[in-house]
Amino acid sequence: MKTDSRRSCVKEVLRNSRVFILLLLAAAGVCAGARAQSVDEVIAKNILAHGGMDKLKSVHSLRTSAKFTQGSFQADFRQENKRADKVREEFIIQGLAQVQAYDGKTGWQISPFGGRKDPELLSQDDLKSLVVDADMDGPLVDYKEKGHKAELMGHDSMEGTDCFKIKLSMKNGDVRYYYLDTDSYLELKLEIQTTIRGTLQESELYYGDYEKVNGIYYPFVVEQAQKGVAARSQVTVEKIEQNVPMEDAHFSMPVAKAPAKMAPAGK
Amino acid sequence: MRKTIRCFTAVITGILASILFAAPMRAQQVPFDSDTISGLGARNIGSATMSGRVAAVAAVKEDGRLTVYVGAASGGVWKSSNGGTTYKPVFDKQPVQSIGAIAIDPQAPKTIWVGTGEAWTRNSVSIGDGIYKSTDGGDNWTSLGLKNSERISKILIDPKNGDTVYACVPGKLWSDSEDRGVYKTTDGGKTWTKILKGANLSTGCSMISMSPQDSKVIFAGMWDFRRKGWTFRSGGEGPTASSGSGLFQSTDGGATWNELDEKSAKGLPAKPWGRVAVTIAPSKPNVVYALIESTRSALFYSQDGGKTWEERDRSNWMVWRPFYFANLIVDPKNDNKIYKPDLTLIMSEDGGRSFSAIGGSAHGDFHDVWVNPDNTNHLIAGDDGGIWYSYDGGNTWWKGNNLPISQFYHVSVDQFDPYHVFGGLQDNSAWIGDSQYPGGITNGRWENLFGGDGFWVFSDPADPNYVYAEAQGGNVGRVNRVTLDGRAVKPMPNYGEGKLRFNWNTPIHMSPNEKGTVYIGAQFLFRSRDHGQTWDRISPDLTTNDPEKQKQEESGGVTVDNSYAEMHTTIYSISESPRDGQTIWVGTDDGNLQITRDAGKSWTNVVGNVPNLPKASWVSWVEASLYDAGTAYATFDRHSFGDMEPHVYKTTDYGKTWMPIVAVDSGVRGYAHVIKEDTVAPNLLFLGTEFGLWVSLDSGKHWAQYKGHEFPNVAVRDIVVHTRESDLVLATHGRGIWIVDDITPLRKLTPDVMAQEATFLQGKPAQQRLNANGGWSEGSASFNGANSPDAALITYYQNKRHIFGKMKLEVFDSQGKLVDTLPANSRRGISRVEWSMRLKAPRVPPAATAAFEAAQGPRVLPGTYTVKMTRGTETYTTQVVVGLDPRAKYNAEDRKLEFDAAMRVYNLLGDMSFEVARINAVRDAFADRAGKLKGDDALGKRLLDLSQKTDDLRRKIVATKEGGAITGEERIREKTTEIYGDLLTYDGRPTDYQAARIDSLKKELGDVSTEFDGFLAKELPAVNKSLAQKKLEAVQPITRKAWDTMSGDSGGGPPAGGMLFRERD
Repeated sequence: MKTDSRRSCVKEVLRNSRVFILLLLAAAGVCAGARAQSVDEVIAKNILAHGGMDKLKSVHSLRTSAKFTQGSFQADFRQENKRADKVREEFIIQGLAQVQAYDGKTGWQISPFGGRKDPELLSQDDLKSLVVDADMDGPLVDYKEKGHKAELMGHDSMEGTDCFKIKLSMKNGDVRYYYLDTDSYLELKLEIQTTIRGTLQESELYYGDYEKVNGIYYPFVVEQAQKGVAARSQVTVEKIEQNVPMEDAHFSMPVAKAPAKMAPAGK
Repeated sequence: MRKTIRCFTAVITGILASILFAAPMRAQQVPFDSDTISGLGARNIGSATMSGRVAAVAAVKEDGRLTVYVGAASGGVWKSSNGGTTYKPVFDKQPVQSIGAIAIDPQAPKTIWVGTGEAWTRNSVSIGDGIYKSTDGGDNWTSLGLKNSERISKILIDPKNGDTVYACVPGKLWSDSEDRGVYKTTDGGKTWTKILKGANLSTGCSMISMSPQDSKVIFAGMWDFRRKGWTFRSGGEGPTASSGSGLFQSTDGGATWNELDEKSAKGLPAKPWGRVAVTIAPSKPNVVYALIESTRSALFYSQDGGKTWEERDRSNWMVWRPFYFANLIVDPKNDNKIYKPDLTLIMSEDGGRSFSAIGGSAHGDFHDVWVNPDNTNHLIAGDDGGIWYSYDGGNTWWKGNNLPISQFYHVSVDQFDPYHVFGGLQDNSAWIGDSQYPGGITNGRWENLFGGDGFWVFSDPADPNYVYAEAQGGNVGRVNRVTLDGRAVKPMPNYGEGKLRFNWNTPIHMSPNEKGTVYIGAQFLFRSRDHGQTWDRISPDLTTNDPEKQKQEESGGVTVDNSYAEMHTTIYSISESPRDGQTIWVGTDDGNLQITRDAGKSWTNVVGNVPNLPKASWVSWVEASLYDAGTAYATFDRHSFGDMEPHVYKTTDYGKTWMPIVAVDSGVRGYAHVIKEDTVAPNLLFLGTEFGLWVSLDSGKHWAQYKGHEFPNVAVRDIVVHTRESDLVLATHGRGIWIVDDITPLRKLTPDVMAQEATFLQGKPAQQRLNANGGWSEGSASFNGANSPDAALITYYQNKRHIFGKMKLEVFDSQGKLVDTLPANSRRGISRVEWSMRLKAPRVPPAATAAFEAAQGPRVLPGTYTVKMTRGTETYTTQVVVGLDPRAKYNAEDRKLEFDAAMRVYNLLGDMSFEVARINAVRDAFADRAGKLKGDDALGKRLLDLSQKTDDLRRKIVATKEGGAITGEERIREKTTEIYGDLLTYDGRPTDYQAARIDSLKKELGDVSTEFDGFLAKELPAVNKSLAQKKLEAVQPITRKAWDTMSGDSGGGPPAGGMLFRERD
């Protein structure tokens, strides 16, 4: 009973961490625009607010190191991206790293907490959000080329701050609602509706503490919650590194080690 | 002396005047609105076990799964994408929550139309504000007019053209209105045309039905109806009085209509009629059924498209309460099979000749049924008890346990810890529930205490083993909390006296001055000081005693319906002054506001002193002030006269004068039900209306709607501030009970505070609540109300959202040592951050598996902690007082022993982490040097051997067997994290054997450490000498200091990317 409840708490945390990544990426970027507040114009201003398209495109790899907090539980979190479509995410507790990665073709994971470190394939549905994470600039940037559709829903108050509300209908069937601050044009909130095995899952992300790193604004705090649930988990970014050399193999699924001659655990 | 006092008074008056005049100016500069206060979250504790009235149901198959929409009578629209396993509210942001009709576009399953305003027009029914449409399955809604319709009973969508829609509008219940009848749009709702008008200003549309073969063929039932506070009519003023009700048919999409009556359509009954329901059999459109209320109420059947009719069933099912039960649903495949929601669900398989009652195990008082066209044995039905599913054609029923749409009338609390919540609901009895429970407040944490419709429920302060519970009409009982036996203690009339007039929602009031003294109001006020054994009548008739409002035996229109629901000229609200037990206020439903200042010997009706208040205004609430015997508040509810505005007043001179405290431009919406003062801050007021909760910080000068944690625009019928916990407990009529935990910060929110850029708002002291496990898996289809967070709540205010730059909270202990760092919430207005009151998790050496029992830190010791908020370049500080749970059987000394023991293990895990890191570094160094030598080099082989021997030592500390199986392998680490977890689950004094165990484990680790030191002393000098000869770097064990520096202060191990423990994938 005791152990079970703790495990389920950790599962929850892991699930949350997935969404968080999406957010960080989503916050990272977007495209340029026109005049009296068409959706393209608002998105263009959002991209400009982050630092501009050129700046965003000048980043070829990105490493975000963060602390994940949910109640009394804390873990280290790291996300690495490499253009065009590679991502690796690690959730680290007691020196053990839960890894989920996608190399543009294959999604895989290592779940070491139960005592096994062999890589496993991710199912198409479980991979869905990881593929979105692999879009380093976020879905708003070049959304048309990516096959998404955007619609400006007008203004909406987000916790007392006036926002533009953009509905993004994504190519993969997900729907996202972006709340962009009408002053700064930066994301303050993102609502995500994703369908996993035919079932809708809804989550919300709240962005804050925007700071500039080499001319690009990133949110350094992201709060995440399941829709309708008051409790939020938090991700506090400690460091963002751009254009760090990363090998392609870092994102590819490793060959499983032979079970008999396994390396000693817990190195 | 007297002169001095006068002079001093003048000075004070001057200061007060300057403050009073200055305050509004300051307040204007500072926004005080919903967002200012809604950062204090609320939690819904349900329950869904009683659930609440469902007015409409619709469903559609999408991608092989069933999508269900439920229209709650006063709790919004709920959507399920999995056939009812889980639901979510999708209408909460709309200004009204009463639902009358739901329709799904047959061509576009994501296009949903909702008609607001329930059409089952019982006395407590809410109101709507028109028709809404969503084109994305309920995510977003557009209001599309008919704003003055007040209620909509059915919506039809042309199956071939989704832009053509018909709305059946009964219209306003309480007043005349032109805005009723049948409306049609052909442009998707942009414009509407009234295509069928009622015969008079009280006749609207009760039901419409469209031929599935020819969408231009439409039948419409028209209904003449009206409610007043003391009577209602369905049809005319009596069984034979003229009525505008009728049945109409159009064959041209509503352009023209033919009235069907006994003259034009053979077989229909003689007029006058009451409510009319009509429906076409989907599988055979010439078959039409009509329920017609008349002096010979019956179901009528036509098989020639309405030309001729035949009377079918005229049992009591066709007579009973047509205003509440007038819906007909024909099976999609069988034209002879018809359902009628009624007191129970009834069903006929012979074209309505005979009916069987099939709703047996469900709650009852059905209103709508959806029949699955793909499997007609599958039914979804809504009644006064929520939503029900049948898979055998209605013979047996599953209850939906996940719709918290319960309709509370009142709420009270007791002084248990955690406190209980008591309340009664529409057709759903009187209940007690938990405000907190380990594992959440599941449906099972609520217990039924009584029966009938439920209203006031109070724990008896003189004997908490008993409660006073109440059913409609003053049927009050005193019930034992444990055995649940009770006895009726309703006052009786005297010899030769007429009836005592008890309201449907009869007030019971507990004296705030005398434990155990209880009041109940009929037309007289009664008081008992002996638990209802005897009642003292302490007033004359306090009502107008108007005989015109006492004709309930004639109420109902065509069909007499004399329940307590229309009982009038009654006492409705009672309040004894907490400052003076001799002062008692009474409000009546017929507009009297009475006060006694001598405990009932004499009474004065002061309602005439209330300015600009129409006569006979229903006193929905009177509340004596907590702070001053002459001060009281009163709300007047005039919705039964068609006036939906709030009317709220305050007196400070025992009712001689009154001032309105909700201005016309205040922004407050909806007729007022309840007003309460805060129990600490006299100027902090809470007002519940039909459309939500409003808060004033300045005695009513300004109001803001509270919307914390998506609290909907639902009727707030009662409010309690828990005096010990400072929680605000809300009884909603449609969404259950909500709790706003610790409103202390609201008490600190002055204009001066709001003018600041940011500041802390101190809450109540935090408690380290007992660690407890409870509950069990109930699956996805069960409601579970949230507990308050197991955390210290740190509250602050910002006048603007923080977007750029760092914002964080740091917690320091009394020695100034940093204990924790918390991410901040950046919203405008009040924000709340939870601090777990724990240290960071210990460092734990990596092993084969994660040790989740050591994934959190020990609870800090009780004491005072300083919180520093950094917001850009500014810093702010406050203090948080942390105390023990008052229920704890251990004391502070025990707590300290537990903390010390936990910290010993915490530090032992840290030492262990270092020891493993030290071993690993040497092991890896041996392997590294070996790798730099040729394969056959003897030194290389020796180094590899040493590396293995080093790793053997590590294996004495941590479990290393991998593979995913449950190995059960235990080494020092696993034994240590086990005792760590045990210590953290109980905050009291550890056992002696736990203390001894810590010593043992520490010694066991020391043994390995000593062995490793001996190993190093023996091996390293020679090895390093050999390495030097090969010009390779010596192997040097790391020091604790170096390791501490490398690994930082992170709890769960070294920081990300740390090379020592970095996993190799």
